[in-house]
Amino acid sequence: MKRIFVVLVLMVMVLTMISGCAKTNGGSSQEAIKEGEAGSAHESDNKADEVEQDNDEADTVTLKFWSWYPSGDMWNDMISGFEAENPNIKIELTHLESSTYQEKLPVALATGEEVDVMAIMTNDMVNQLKTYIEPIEPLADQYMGPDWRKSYTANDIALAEDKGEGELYFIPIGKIGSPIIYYNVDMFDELGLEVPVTYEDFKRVTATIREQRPDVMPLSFCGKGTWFVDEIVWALAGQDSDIFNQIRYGDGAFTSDEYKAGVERFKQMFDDEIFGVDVLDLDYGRSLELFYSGEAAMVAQGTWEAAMLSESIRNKNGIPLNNIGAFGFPPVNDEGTANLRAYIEQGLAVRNSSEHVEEAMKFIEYMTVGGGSDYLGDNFIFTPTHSNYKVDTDSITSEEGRAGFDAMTELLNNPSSDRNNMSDLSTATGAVIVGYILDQYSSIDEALEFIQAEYETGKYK
Amino acid sequence: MKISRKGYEWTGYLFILPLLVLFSIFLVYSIFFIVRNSFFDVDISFIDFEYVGLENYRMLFEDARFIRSIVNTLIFAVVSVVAGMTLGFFIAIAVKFKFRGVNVLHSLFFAPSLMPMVLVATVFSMMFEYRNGTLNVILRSLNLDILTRNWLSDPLFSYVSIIFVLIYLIGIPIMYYTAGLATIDSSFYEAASIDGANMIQIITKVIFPSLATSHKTVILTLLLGTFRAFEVVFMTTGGGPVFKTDIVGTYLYSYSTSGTNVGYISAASLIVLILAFIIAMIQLKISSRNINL
Repeated sequence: MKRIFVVLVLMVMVLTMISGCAKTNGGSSQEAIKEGEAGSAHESDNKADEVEQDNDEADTVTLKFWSWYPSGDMWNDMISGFEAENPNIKIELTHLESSTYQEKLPVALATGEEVDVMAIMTNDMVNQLKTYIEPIEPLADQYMGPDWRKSYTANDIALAEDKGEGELYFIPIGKIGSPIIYYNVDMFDELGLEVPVTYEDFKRVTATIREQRPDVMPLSFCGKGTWFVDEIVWALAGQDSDIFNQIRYGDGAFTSDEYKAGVERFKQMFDDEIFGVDVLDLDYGRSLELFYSGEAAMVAQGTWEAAMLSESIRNKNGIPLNNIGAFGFPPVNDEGTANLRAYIEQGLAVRNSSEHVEEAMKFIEYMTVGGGSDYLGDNFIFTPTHSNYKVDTDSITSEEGRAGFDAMTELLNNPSSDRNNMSDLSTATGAVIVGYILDQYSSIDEALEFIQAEYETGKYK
Repeated sequence: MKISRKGYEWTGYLFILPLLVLFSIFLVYSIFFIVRNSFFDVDISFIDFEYVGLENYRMLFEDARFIRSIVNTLIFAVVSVVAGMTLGFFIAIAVKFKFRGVNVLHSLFFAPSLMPMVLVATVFSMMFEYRNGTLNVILRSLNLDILTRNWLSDPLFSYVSIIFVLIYLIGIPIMYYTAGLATIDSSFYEAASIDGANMIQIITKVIFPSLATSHKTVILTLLLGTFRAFEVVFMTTGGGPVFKTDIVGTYLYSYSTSGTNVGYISAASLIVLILAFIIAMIQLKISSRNINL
């Protein structure tokens, strides 16, 4: 009798555990949102309730949309704008952190989870997921009109087609680039400094900061995250070549003179004390923190941080600096030009099994050439691919901020090469370059041969 | 009704059966997952599988960085064990015998065990910064500029910094030894004291040998814990500079960000799993042999 009782108790326990692990209707999406932004979680719960009511009305469509960037709050703002213009379409957002997104989206698609529209990373994700994505050009022709291409920057669409090996699987939202240097305008004014145009100017600026404000780091960047070391070296190499594209798409080599020049220029900046070895201690957040707190006069980062040029955004995020400007890395030699690498950053694609293609295309159109695109541009998330986009300059109130934004836009529209990274290789390459700076290699050639050999191992795709 | 011994055993197994089933699913399937993927070139979407045989393993064993990460993991593990069995042991002794000032020491070493490791590692990372870190700031304020170092980015001192943090993280061994000491009958100390043993002799010849089970637990916990010390290394040195402080966790992480290398990471994970298993088996074998003696 006792044994039967025990067995019954165990069966109840097992059943309880199994039911607790079971997937409920939309539960996996809601679980994913709990891992993401709290705002989107709240919104999704509300939307889930609204969906149940609205689905009772025949003409309301709910689109399931996945993304990782920008924040859930920003997506909710844009989604609200879209829904206001399209009251019969509701968007249910699943928002995840970047690396989680890369893991979970493929799994969700492979397991048949409902996804109508998805944000696509412009790395290898397109090739990974194209089995699940509807080629978008026919859809654009049908729902956006035959002249839809004119609304976009031609180069950006071409890059998107390139990712799909000639087939267009997504429409790019915008592009970003790296690196750019943001500077503390008030500190520059205090020290009588101007934006450096030449390398000698750059040396003078950092030397002045070092002399007159020894408590301030002239230029910070996230040296501990060696991928950013790699970013800077590519920019320096790209001042007079497109060596990145040669290596990435052709038979260029890390042992080439062009790439070697980039590494030598990077080392020269340490020798000339433009950089100090103290930057190698700094991670991403810390490098920005030093700049925001006034402990660093400049910070090198990507254009994705351009929001700091806006006074209203600085105030909203509690950044205490009064005025921030921007410029590109000055050319180290006379033949070079300031530059950065740029690439389309995110695209939107339609699931090939979606039952709401028309609504999905409306959302994509809104996000790429409509109100969503304007929102992303005005908040400096991306530089939109929308060919007629004009930034809301009311959000950048200072002359230096506007000049910085213009300089950044000019560089983004004329990149030296694509910022089409292999992120694992980027980290490894940056680490070797740091080793060269720290004299861990007998010569630059030894370091470059190591990088080339590492590249050829087959580990990086 | 009298239940036989066999009946009690079956009852026990039935109670743990649900958890065993779940555990087996996750454990067995996880191992199957990485073993299978290690023979393929596959990315995070798991759509296209290309059989590559032992290619991933070949690349692994030809990668000096992978070998170094294993060596670093073992070195850091040994350091943790030595620190735990010496400093951790003596702090537990000090707590037991109520040495003066031990409460401060105990709090200082035990507190990190209660905090998320990421937080502890981040704090140390900021303390070790060259320009604004607490350590160098204190040294400069004492006119000891000559002693300031790049604690995180110098190839030698980055290693020292990791070791320092691992030595500091001995809260768990202190806890194990404190619990172990509570099981020792005080009559042993009294008998030894009556026989003329001094404090050092009581500690080394009576207490230390009596804590064989605690030693086994501490060694195993710290040895295998270093394989999971990802946060300590990642948040301080990042595995650098130039991979000098890489451990297996940071090595695996560095190839996981792109999602294109699942096969390679699976092969590396399997090697690490086998290595950890071998270490655990050796340690248990040695410990059980010592107890039998």
